[in-house]
Amino acid sequence: MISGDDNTRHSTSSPISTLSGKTSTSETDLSNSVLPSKLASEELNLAINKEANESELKEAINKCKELILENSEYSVERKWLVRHLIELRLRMQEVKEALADPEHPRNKLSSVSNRTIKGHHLRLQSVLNNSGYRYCDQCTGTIWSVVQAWYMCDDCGYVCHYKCMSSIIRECAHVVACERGQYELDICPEKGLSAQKYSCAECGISLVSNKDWSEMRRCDYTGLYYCSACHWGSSAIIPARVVHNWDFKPQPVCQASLQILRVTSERPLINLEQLNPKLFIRVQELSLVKRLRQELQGIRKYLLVCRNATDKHLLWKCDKSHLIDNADMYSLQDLMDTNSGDLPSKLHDLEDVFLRHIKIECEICKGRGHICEICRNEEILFPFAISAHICPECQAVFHKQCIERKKNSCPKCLRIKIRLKSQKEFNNNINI
Amino acid sequence: MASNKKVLLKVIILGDSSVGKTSLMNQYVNRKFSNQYKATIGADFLTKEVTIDDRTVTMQIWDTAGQERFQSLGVAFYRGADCCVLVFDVTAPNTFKSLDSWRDEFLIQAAPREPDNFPFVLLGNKVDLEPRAISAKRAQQWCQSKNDIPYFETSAKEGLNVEQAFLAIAKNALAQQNQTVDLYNEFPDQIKLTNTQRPSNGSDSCAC
Repeated sequence: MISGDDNTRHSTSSPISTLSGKTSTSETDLSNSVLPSKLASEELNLAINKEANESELKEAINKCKELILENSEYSVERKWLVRHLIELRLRMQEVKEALADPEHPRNKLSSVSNRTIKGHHLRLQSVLNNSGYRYCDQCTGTIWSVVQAWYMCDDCGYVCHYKCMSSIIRECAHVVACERGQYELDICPEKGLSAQKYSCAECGISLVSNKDWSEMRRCDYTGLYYCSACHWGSSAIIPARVVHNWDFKPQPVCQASLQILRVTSERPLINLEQLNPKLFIRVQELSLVKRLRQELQGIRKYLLVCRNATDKHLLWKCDKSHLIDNADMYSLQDLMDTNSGDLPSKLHDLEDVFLRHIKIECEICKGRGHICEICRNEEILFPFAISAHICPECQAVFHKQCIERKKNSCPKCLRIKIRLKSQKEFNNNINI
Repeated sequence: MASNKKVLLKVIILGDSSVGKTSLMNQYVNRKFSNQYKATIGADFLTKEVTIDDRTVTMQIWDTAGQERFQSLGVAFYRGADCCVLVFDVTAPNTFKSLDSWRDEFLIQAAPREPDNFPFVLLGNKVDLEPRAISAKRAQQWCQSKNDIPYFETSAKEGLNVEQAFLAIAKNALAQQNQTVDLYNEFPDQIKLTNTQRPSNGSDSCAC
């Protein structure tokens, strides 16, 4: 669903000219990728040019660190410097790798093939890469890959013509998502056109001007209005609608939001327990997933300290490690899979594999189980079982039913108490 | 008991943290010693084949966590133990004092058939170090009060007495196992109630 690609983007939109007309959301703030004016005097010390060697980079990194400390927290300068520091370190790594390995791509390609602009790591694409029809994210024109040089960002998939690189406005979705660290969780937080000064929230072009024809389009994720060059009418599932309403209907979004939602779909950014705990009661699959994840948490503790499990790379059987590392964080994809029923069955399978190891295959894990000393049943009891009760004081494990029969008094705690008492009496006797 | 049957002896090593449980086991099984301290998490075992009175037996030696914070994992492996080795550090009096509670806990968790006759062996480790805090006499007195437990003074670092101690452990464990087997064999003509030859397809055997 792409429209307006015949509409070439406002050609005069250089970063500086758009600054004034733009309503800034923190995500698309342009000012922080151009060297802030206060830092202009340091430009030479920061190795902004691409061809710096190892020692120059080392110096620049140190200088950058110093400057970070000199600038106040949350300032534009500091933000720019931190990003630049990351960039420098990446380049340093690359230089080192290139030195060690003569086959390294850096030694083969000219400096034009890789560019870093607005956080994008743009890489020159091969003429042969003509898989699918592509449109330039900057000018919205078709990319004729055989005759036009074009670049793609390694991190977010942003594509553009070589000629459009100098006028890129959109920041890399990967950088924006990392810096923000969480989704917009208000459903379509619309401010209104007047708050946007009737201009596109991304490129700043006037949305009501008579001269250029432009249609205003609302992005359901940011709640802001965009021109048709920045909003192509694509649609995506909106995290806020899922979290609050369990609503998976795709909504129209601008290209920047689309890219952000795409790069973050697998990232565990949603703490559902905190945001909407009632959802676990309303949605049956979700409560099942929650229970399974809590059980997997307990199971994971066993596998982490078992050498057999380590040898078998058992924990790597889960391709999404956050599902077993913690019980609360969900990625948007997890919620979609929960809704489709894929996730519960996947977690069930995983649990089966893990339990087979712990309860049947592994001598060590079996030995690390518990035997309920109240009923003395030979069956090994594990703390992650639903029927298990863990004493909060001494960590001993009993059957829930057994400890209830004992009126919740832990026999091990009782023994420890008696021992301490007799020890004290013994010591007192010696003192007397 | 048929002598050609493979025998597995399960031995549990217990004691306070840093008395040298892991080191003793490593010295015995791998003949290696490291000065570096690394806390054991939960429990783990090594196996070693030994020959006792012309019989080859496999010893499964369970090394355990002495540190309380690494004890949250269970002790189901106590069950079916054939011998329990208690270890203390001859230079640290507190490790000697807690022997009683280690023994008590073991007997409760392992629940052997005859708790009074269950074989324990006491090892006073680190005899290469000075100054000593617990004399051999005091350790032996404790052993006598507990139904004559054998006592060995060892040094995992120097490999002193380790071989002898574990041989005694193996012998005691084997004796315990033979005893238990004898106990079961008091009635040689057992009637097995679980008949495995019964056809498993239950639906066919239904009369109706």
